[in-house]
Amino acid sequence: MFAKIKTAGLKGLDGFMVDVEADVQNGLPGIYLTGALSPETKEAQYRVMNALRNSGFRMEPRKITVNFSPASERKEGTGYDLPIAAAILAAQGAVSAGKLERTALVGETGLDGSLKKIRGVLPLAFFLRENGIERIIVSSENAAEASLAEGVDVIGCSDLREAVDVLWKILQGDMSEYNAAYGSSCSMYGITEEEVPDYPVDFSEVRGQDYLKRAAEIAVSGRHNILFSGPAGTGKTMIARRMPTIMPRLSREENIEISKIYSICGLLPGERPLLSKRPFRSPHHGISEAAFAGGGSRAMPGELSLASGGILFLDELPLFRRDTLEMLRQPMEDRKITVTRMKGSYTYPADFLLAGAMNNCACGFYPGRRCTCSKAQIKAYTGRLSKPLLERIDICAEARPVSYGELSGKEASETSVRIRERVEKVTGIQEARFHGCGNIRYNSQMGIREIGRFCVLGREEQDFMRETFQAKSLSGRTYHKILKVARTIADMDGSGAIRTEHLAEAVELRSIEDSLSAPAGHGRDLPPELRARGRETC
Amino acid sequence: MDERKALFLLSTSEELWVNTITKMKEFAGSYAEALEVPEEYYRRAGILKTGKKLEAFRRIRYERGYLLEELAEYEENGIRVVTHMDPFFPKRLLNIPDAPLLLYVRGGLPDDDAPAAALIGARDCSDYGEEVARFFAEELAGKGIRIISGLASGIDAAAAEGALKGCGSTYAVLGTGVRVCYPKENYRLFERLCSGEGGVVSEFSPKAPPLKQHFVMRNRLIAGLGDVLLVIEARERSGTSITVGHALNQGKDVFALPGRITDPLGYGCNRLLKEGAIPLTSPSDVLEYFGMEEDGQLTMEWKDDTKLEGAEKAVFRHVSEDALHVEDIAAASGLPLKDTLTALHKLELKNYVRNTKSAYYRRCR
Repeated sequence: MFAKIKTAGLKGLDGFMVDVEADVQNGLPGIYLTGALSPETKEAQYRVMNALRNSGFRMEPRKITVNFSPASERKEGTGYDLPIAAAILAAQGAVSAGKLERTALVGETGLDGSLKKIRGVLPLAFFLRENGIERIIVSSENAAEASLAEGVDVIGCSDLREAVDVLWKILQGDMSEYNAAYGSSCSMYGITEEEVPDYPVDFSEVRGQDYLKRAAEIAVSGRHNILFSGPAGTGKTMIARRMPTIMPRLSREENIEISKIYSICGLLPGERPLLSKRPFRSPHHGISEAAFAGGGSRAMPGELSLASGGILFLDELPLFRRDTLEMLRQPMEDRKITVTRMKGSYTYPADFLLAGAMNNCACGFYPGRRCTCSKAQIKAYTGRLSKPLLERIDICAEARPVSYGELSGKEASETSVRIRERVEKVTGIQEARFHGCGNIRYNSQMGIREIGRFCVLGREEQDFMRETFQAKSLSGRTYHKILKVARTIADMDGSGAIRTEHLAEAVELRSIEDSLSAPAGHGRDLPPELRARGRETC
Repeated sequence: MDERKALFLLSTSEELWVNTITKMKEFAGSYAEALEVPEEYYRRAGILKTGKKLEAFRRIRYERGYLLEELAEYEENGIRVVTHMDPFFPKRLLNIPDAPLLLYVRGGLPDDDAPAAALIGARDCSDYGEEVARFFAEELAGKGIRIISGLASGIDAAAAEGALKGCGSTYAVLGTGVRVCYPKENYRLFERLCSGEGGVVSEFSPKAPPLKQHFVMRNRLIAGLGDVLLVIEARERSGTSITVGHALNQGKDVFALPGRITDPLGYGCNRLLKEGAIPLTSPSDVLEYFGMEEDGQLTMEWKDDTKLEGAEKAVFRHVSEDALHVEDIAAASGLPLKDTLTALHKLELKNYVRNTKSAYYRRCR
C-alpha cells in the first residue's frame, strides 16, 4: 500500500517542500530509503523502526520503501524521522493519509518513540505557512518556536503515540481539543509583541571616556563601521559590548529574520525562542574562515550572519589573519553573504555593524610613556591592518587612559535607554531622508550621488574643509567618509545643514587609512623585495 | 688602467676594506698595479690571508669589465664616485682614523671652508626632541652652517627637515648605498637632498642593503664631516655613543642637550655633560663656537596665546608641549567636546597646535 506525507527541508534559510512516500510490498523484510539523503537522514531507517516498535505499533514483516520527493534535492538533518514514521503507518493502514494534504510533520524520534527538537524549525514553519500548510506537528520542545509563524496551527507532541492520536483526530475532523489548547497565536508561549530588550550590560556602567562613547553613538546612529584604538584597559571592549544596547529596538520582522539564523544553528533559547536583543558577536582572532563567514560540510551560517542586525566586534584587529578579514569585503557591501559549497550555495543575511578594537602597539601602552616599542615596531603593528578593511571603516576613535578620579567618581553616566531614544530619533531622520533612494537606510550607505545631494556645505564650511584637506593631505575617499559622518553628527544635532563644528568632529574621528599609506605615488608600486629593505631610487 | 678606476674596482667588495686595500697598494706601488699582482704574492706577503679575501680579489679581477660598465652607469645616473685622490674629496675625511678611500655621492658634498655641524640623536625620540632638533638645524643652517646627519628616523630626519626649512644645505651619510632610501618614510627628504639641496654620501656600493655593521661604520663619517657634534637626545647605551667616541677620537668638540634626569632619552646626553661635553641650550652656543656674529641669544619659544581670541584662546591655554588627548583638553578648558574640537582644528590650520596622533594635540613652536 502507498501513502504520502508532507514535510519540508531547508537549503540555507530557504525551504523546499518534500513529499515522504512510503510503499509496503511483499519482499525481503526491511526498510529502504531513497532520494538524495545525507548520512544522518539515512540513519532514520533504524531510529524510526525501533521507535515505532517501542511505541507499541506492530510492524509487518514486509518490504518498506520510503522515497523523498523531489528525489534530486539533497536532504539533510533529522527532521524527517516523524514524517517517515507517519508515512509507514499510513502505508500499513494504521492511519489514513487521506486528509493530511494541509498538514506537515517535522521532528526527530528517539528509539523509545519520544520526539526531539531539531534545528531550523522557525524558518521551516514560515516556509510551510507560505506554501499553504495549515497545521504543523512538531516535537513539543519545538512548538513555541514554530508558533512564531502566525496563522498556522502548531501542535507539539512529546512522543509518537501522541502524534498518531493527533493524526486520527485530524482525520476525524475533530480538532476542538487542539484548537482550545493551542489556538494559533504565539501569545500562549509568552512571546508578546512589545518586549523591552533587557541587556545584561548598560552604558551607564562606563565611567569617563566621553569621547569614545560619543564616537559609539555616532557610529550606531549612522551605521558607520568603527575602529577603537588606544592603550590596553581603557574600555574599548567595554564600550563595544554596550553598542547593541543603544541600537534602535528590533521590529518584529527584523527580530524574526535574526531568530531564523539562530534557529538553524540551534542557538535559540528553548523557553523563549525569539532574540529581541540585538546580537553581539566577538569571534576570537584565531577563528577559521568557515566559522567566520559560514561554511563547513553543511554550509552553516558563520559569525558574520550571527551578528546580523547587531554588532560584529573584532578585538585585536591586527591579529586577525588577512584571509579571514578579506571575507568581510563582499558582505559589507551587499549586507548578505553567499556561502558556496560542493552541495550548493546558500545565502545568509550579514547586515552587521562592524566594531574593531586594537592597541596602538604590541606592548599596548603607546602613546603612553610606558610603551617600550620602537617607532618601527609601532608602524609595523598598525601596518598589519588590512587596507581593504580600513576602507570600509568610517570612524576611528582613539581611547585614552582613564584616571582614578573618573573610575571612582559617583557621577552617574547616561543610561543606554536614554541614548537609544536619541539614536532612534536620528534613524527616523535618515529613514525620511532616504525614502525612495533604493535600499539606502543609513548615512553610511550613501554613495557619491547621495553625498552630493544630502551633504551640501556652505561657504565657510567649504573653506574649512579645503584647508583641512590640504593640511592633512587627505585622500578623496577619506573626504567622502568625513562628509558622511558629519551628516550623521548634524542629524544628531537636529541640524539640516552641516556646520563647521560637525565637520571638525568628523575630521577628528576620520579613518586612519591615510596615515598608514605611503605618500601618494610612493611605495605602492614598490616590488616586495625592496619594500622590506628600503626604496631603490633612480 | 687609471688609478681611480683601479681603486673603484678594489672597493667593490666589502671583504677588501680600507686597511687591506691600503696594504695592497703599498705592496704593489699603485692601485692599478695592485690589481695586476698575482694573488699568490699577496698570500705569501700575508695581505690576503683568508679564503674570503682571496675569493673577493679573484672575483674583482674576473668581473673587471662588468664592474667598469657599472661605474659608467653610475656616473651616467648622477652618482659620483669620489676617491681620496680627487680634488673634491672632503678634506675633513682625509685625516680621520680609518679614512674612507672612496665615496659615492648624490647631490653635493659639504664645502671644505664652510663650517659644518653634525646633529645626531635617538631614532625613537620624543616630540620635544624632534622639535628641538628641527629648531637648531633651522637656525644653524640659516646662518650658513652645513648640517650633517644620518637620515635615520627621529632626530636625524628632524634635523634634515629643519635645515631645509632654514634654506640651508644638509648632507646625509647613509648606512645603505646611495640608491636605497632607508627608512623609506624619509623618501621625500632623500629626494630633496639628491636633487641638490644638499647631498647623500655613502662609502658602500649604491645598492648596499641596510645592514647593522654598515650603520656602525658610517658613524665615523658623520663625526668626520662635522666640525662639531651636537647630541640632541640619546639613551644610556646607544649608537650615539659610538659616534661621540669617533668625534672625540678625531679631536672634535661635542655639544649635548641637557635632558630631564628622569627621562631615559636624557641619560645619554646628561652622561656626556658630566664627562665634559659642552651644554647646548641655544643655537647661539654653536654660532659662538664658530666665532660667528650674531645679535642677542637665540631662544626656542613655544607659540603663545596673545593673538588668539574666544574659544581658541581658552582651548590653546590647555594644550601643552607634550601631546594631550582631546578629552583631557576639553575637560581642562571646560568647553564641550565639539567646541574644543572645532577650536583645535582651527588652531591647527593656523599652525598653533600639531596633531601628533589621532585625537592627540600638542603646542607648536
